[in-house]
Amino acid sequence: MTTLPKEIEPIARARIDAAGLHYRELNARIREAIAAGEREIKLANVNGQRYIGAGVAGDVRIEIHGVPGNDLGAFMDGPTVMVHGNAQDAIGNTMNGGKVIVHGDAGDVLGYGMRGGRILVRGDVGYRVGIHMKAYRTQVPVLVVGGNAGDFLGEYMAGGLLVVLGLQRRRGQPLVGDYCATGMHGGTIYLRGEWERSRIASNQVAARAAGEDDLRELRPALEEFCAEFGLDVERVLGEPFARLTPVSHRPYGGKYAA
Amino acid sequence: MPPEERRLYTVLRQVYASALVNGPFAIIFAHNEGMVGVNDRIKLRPMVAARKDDFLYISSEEAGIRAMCPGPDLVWSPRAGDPVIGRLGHDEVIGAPGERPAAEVTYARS
Amino acid sequence: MPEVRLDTEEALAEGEAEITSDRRAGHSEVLPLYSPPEFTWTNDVDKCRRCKRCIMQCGWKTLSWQDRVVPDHSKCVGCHRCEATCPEQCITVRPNAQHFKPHALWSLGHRKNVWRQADTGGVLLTGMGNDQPYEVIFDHLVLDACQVTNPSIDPLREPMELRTYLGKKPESVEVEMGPDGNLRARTRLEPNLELATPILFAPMSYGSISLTAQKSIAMAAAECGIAWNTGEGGLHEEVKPYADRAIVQCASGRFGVHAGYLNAGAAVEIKIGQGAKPGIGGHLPGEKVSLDVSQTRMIPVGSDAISPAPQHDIYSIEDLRQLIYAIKEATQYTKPVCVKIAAVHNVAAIASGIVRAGADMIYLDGFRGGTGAAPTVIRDHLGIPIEIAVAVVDQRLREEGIRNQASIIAAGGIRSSADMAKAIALGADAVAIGTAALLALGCTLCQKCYTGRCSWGICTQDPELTRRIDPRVGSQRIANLVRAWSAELEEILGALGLNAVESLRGSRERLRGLDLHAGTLEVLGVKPAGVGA
Repeated sequence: MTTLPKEIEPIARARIDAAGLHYRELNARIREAIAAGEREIKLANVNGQRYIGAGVAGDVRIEIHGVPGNDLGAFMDGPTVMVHGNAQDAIGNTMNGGKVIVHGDAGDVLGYGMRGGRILVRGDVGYRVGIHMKAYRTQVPVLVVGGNAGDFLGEYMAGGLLVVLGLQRRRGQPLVGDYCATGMHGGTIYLRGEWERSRIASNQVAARAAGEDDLRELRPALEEFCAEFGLDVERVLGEPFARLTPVSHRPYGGKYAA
Repeated sequence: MPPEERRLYTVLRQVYASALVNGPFAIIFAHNEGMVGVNDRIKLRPMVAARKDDFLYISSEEAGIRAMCPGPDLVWSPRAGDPVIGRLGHDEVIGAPGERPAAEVTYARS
Repeated sequence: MPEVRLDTEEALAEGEAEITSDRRAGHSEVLPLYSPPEFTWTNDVDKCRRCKRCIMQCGWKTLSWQDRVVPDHSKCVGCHRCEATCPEQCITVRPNAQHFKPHALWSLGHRKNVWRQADTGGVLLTGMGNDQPYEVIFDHLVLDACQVTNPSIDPLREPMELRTYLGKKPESVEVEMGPDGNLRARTRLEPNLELATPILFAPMSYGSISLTAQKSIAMAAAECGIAWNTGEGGLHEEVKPYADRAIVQCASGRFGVHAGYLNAGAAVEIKIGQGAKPGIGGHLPGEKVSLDVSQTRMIPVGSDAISPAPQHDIYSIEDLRQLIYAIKEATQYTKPVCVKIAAVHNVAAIASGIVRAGADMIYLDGFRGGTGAAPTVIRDHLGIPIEIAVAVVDQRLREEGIRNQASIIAAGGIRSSADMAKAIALGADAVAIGTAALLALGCTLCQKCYTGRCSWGICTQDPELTRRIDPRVGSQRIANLVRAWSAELEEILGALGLNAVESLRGSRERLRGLDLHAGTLEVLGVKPAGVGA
């Protein structure tokens, strides 16, 4: 790295051109910037670099232009990461706190084992999203999907809040796929608009229309979502929501002989 | 599902049971007439597809496609188990959103 | 049971006196052969409630009342019915400690058999399956599991397919365009038997088992979406409601077999033999042919029901083909036809012939298969293990390119879901269970089925005993067993990284042998543990 005049060093630190950078180099530079005190970092020309924000803690904001690679914000604890475009797989793996905002679609296995923080995706998400989300004391993870989700949404959910809005349904596309909330034993899922009952195991998951109290519970998350993406929260709340909760905290209790 | 279609799938399943591919896979293969990408039935491995003009791209990561083609017209995630099929000389990509899914397409005998 | 005189002082003195007097008279008399009882019966007299339930429960009249419960140990067969039903749980049935000088060759069992045959001059009879200490091959096979390179599957969350279709499959499927512009299969499939899980119930005739036991089995088959088998006892009215899940058997005695019977079931089975008594027939004594049994089997009351050794119209493979097609004609080609054979030395060639004769399924019964009655010497010394039979039949049919023409059912000592998984890995499409189903009803394997006095009400026709089984309860117990094994099979498949049971079928690569001879490993087509793919 060439030496720069002192005046523009902070600007250079806070604006990183990721073009051609291996993820190790990119992530090292991000950490350097944070260590040097930067609180707003912009990444340009990102394409496929993995582990951005992985294990990063603290009150930092990272803006990504381009498509980040897998494991964005894995084990993250506090920062806000914003993606201007699509994102890939495994976002927020075991995230403890912070926020990931995606102005596009995202891939599979988002928020696996999330314990806190928020993941907000404007568009569609893929398969196995929100698996084993868990809440712990004051930490409650929230995952909101603006579009549709694939199979295995919210599997083994132990805690937290999962919302699917279906704001841009293509012809014949279902809101959620099969095996939704299999093994759910905690937490709450909200589904907006029409969806098929056959997608959930009714002996494990109870579904009913969301009432006034429920929508009050849901509102803060939706207000945050709509604020990020410039949407009208009243229009979003204008459609009926279904509220999914677990039937039991021991969904597989009867399977084994004593 | 219409009964004839159900019967077809049942018969295929009964007769070719030993040929079932188990576990996670994402397979892309090409032949002299085109290219096919297909996932296992529950998409345990990643696959993304895109098109720009008359090019079809299939990859495990969107970033991989964008490295070759920075501004695709359409990027999508194929549905699990539904193949993406591009044939030379045909504009239609089977398995792309808005196109008919593979199961609905009939094959003319060449 | 052989007669044993109680060892009272009187009797001994009597015997002494007899001998002394006979010696004087010039006769030489041999002391009666002493065969000790197999079991001893005791109870805790302090806890005994004197309810006399044990006396009533024993089917062999072992117990009597003389101000307290008094046992005749020689009659006790060790079925434990009295223990299970004692409200105070104060009964203990123990093996009788035998203090004969040990001998590595002449076990006490061998000595007792010689004494009995010297007494009676008869063929020794027994029930259930071979209990001799031959090596159990299942216990020397272990299954693979996925680690890293091929991840395991979580059966709690992913679709796991156990559904099995038994019957003929074509070489290929031809697909054509239908008149409505949709694709459809041009190839028509031969009739197949659909099972929700790869388990069915072995043939156990009404006559060999009670109607209440058979009804329990039939109801469980209906509930679990699998199949049961009439055995050669015909189809009784009480189990007709479950006929659509029944395989109706056409055996050498042709009991109860008529066109209506053939068309009532889901499949028809031609019984050539069974694992417990390969090559010999069966004999239901006239005493067990009650009015009900007579009506179901369509034979006169009190007449012996003799099943001849071979089917007298099948003396060659061409004859078998003729019978198979006679049945197909009589059922208008709507039912798959199964042929059941005992596993014997040439089982692979026999199976090949049977498939070429037109059978849709082959039922292989290994040498551990059970029965209501068989000569002990036949049960324990004829036939080969099912593990080997399945492996060689599957291999031969594949080599000849005809494996798709028939499904293989493996039976004869399937004790658990592990045995089932291993049998499938060796080449079976499904397994049949007999002993396991009866164990679910309470059987303790005392092997006295041939006496017709089963205290558990299973293999008897005595109404006092048969009413001890309530089919509503019995069927639940059997259905529980099937469900439990199915859940365990899903766990095993998950560990193997497989989504469907057909992917395990014949996949010997997922098995490894532990402490098996090289020759056995080769016959099984299985590698020794430690050798990779």
